[in-house]
Amino acid sequence: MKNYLRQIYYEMRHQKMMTWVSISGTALSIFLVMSLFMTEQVKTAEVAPESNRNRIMTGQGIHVTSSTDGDGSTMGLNPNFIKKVYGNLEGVEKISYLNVWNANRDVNVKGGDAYSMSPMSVDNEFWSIYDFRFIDGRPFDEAEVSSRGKVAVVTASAARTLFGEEKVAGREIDVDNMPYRIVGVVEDVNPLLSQTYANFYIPYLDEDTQSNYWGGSVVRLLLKEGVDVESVKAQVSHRYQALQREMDNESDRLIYHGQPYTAEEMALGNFGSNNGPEIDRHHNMMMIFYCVLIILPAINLSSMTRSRLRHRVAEIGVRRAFGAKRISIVGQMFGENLIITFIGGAIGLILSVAFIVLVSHLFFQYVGGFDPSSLLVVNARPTFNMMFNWQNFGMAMLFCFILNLLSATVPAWRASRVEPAVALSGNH
Amino acid sequence: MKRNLLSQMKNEWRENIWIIIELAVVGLAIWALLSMLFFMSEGLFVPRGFSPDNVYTITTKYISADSPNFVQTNDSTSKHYNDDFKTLLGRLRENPNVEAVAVHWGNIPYNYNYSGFQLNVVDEPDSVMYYGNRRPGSPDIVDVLELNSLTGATRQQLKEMLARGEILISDNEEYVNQGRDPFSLKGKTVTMDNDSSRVYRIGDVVEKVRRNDYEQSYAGCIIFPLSEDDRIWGDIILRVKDGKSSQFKSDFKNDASLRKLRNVYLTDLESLMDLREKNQRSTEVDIRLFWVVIGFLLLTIFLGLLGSFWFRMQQRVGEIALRKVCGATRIQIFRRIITEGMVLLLCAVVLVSASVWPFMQDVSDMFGREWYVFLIIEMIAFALVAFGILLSLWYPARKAMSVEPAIAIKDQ
Repeated sequence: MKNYLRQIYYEMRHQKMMTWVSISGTALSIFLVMSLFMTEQVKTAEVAPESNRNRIMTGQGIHVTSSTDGDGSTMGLNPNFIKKVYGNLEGVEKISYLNVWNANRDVNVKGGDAYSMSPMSVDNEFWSIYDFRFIDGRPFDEAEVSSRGKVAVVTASAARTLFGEEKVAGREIDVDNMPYRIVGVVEDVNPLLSQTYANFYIPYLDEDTQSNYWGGSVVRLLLKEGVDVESVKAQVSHRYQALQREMDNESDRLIYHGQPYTAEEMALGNFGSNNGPEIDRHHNMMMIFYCVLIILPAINLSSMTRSRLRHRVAEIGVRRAFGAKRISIVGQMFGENLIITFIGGAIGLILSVAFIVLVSHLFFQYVGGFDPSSLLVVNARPTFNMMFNWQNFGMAMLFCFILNLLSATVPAWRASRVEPAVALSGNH
Repeated sequence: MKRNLLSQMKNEWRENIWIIIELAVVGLAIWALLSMLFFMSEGLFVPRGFSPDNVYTITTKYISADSPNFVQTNDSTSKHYNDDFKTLLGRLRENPNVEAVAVHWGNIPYNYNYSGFQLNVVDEPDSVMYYGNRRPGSPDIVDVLELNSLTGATRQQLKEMLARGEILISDNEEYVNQGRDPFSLKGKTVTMDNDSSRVYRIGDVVEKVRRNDYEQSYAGCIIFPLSEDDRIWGDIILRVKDGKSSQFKSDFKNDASLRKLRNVYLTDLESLMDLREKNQRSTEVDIRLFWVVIGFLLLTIFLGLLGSFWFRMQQRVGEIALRKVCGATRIQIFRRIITEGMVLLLCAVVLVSASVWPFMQDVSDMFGREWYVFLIIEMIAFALVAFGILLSLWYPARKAMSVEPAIAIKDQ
């Protein structure tokens, strides 16, 4: 091993240009692959308050085609319809109702300046599905939601903006000129966590509507540990089929686009009320991107490796003449190349983390949606803990290994096949 | 010399084939990406039909009667809401930093609402109708957005048309493609969406107000009049005098009489430029990403060719030295190496063109563009690849030029 390392060091020193090109090529490839991988991961990373993100599913809107009333679709549902479709599903631990439309509201302390803030209307179960950290006070309870209480939970930054301090539970604010009492203060939520991000939270309003289906509510389902999302989707599908059979007119259709959606589907953000997320298409696209980002540099690196090994044909001939097996020569070349690949990979991984933290918002659209509420949301950046986990190291090593496999195996095998007599004659 | 170069390249055929494949794949990818970039960015070169600088939007809100902050009045709620809203509009107009103030119903630029309407000329039934995105606004919307007539009418005249309840339409490619002329509609009386209870006269044809800088809408745009003489509701859009933005923002923040009157208040002052940044982010991110991918592909070529040719130069030191001894100049050596790279690129161009051009008619139909657009983009794409090749060969070629014959062939 020590000899291998010494030999690699020697090679690196004496073929500086080749080494530089190999390491740069590997670093570039790993940088791009890992940037893409971590960007995807940010969409589903389980960080507070969305620590159960991958166990949470969302039911929202429906698309109805009616022979008499034409097509219609909306993001919100009637609460009674929600109960029919999503109530008492097997494998669902908790269910939370939210209002779908949350336009910015004016918030001010009595007599003070008004600030335009992003609200979220949620029920009491919302606080048990998500793990908000309360700095002061408590969440609102079932009685406060059902009595339509004028209570609010604000984020720490909203509290500082309004009062200049964070411990403000019990104080009063005006929301669009209606007085609300603050019952709790929570830590800020990163805008990239779009299922929970808001400046303040007020109780959900359970408003029945004229429509059988449409309304202003959406639902979040917390699945029990180990429950497969497909089983929940299948139950909802059965319920929709039953509702479809109950419809008066056979030509009317309830189109639900495979709901409820997983966190990953919600994060895609490329769908609306009359079309669903195309998760398989997205996965295929990502696979193509990964392949291109690995294969193109692999062609180059393979050429580099072949060039490097041509310098060492005489050495390989000597080894073969002294009885070294082809497989051991291939193994050695592969191992040597893997070390160079890992050096490039480590540089690429560090660059990708720096890139994601510093400037990724300029290149990736994390927040989908029709009309982002503010520039703050558009410019949101992931925090370090949204991207950093040990899986990333594992993935980077795997990508390096694949890159090495593609770029070093064939040249190493070809080099090992040179006959010792030919290698030593210098006529290779 | 040339034949000699080709023979030499033939001897390196294994490595050269990989380089040609790589150049072809990269060239094809850059060609496709540049085409998409061009189609996405085309809108930037077309007039957007309005000027977003110095324009601000303000949201109108009303205090409801169940609020403890509600101010009791003698008038009915709707009457005093309307009166007070108009008073606030007047106060904004009187502000020395403000140039023009209009009322709108949300369908302003950089807002993705699309309110599609069709116009039918009264008493002239036609199967081809004018479709457009309806943008309701009070007459001053002409000055706020700086709308431009396509028939030479002044802005004052456009405002007067809106004040008379006439609508303004824009040019409309869809309509033109069906053999109709939008300019022929000027002066005609139309209904909207077949609602015969109300008719409108078309006042003039203006530049199309697009939804954003990138939109390439082929349908038209209909500026729909909101009269301030009647009861009016909506949000506010205003133009601030050049260089007076910060003064106006300060006035709006500090002067409560500009923002609130009894139960009506104005909030969310936001510049159209901020709205633009928010709502065009997605397209701009895609464009940046495309450029990054093109950069990555060029860098890949750069590294690949740099490595390959560096190795070749090392292998050929003796040969280059011999050429120099036989009288070859430094420039000839340099040219030979560059030519080798260009011959490889030429092979890649032939490979890509032979694979793609048989299907060009389908591609051309799919994107609705003429074939020569793709040819020009192909030339640009491979010119970029050629630039990458030149950059990558420059250093190995320079090293080759500086080979000292005596040292290089001393062993021989």
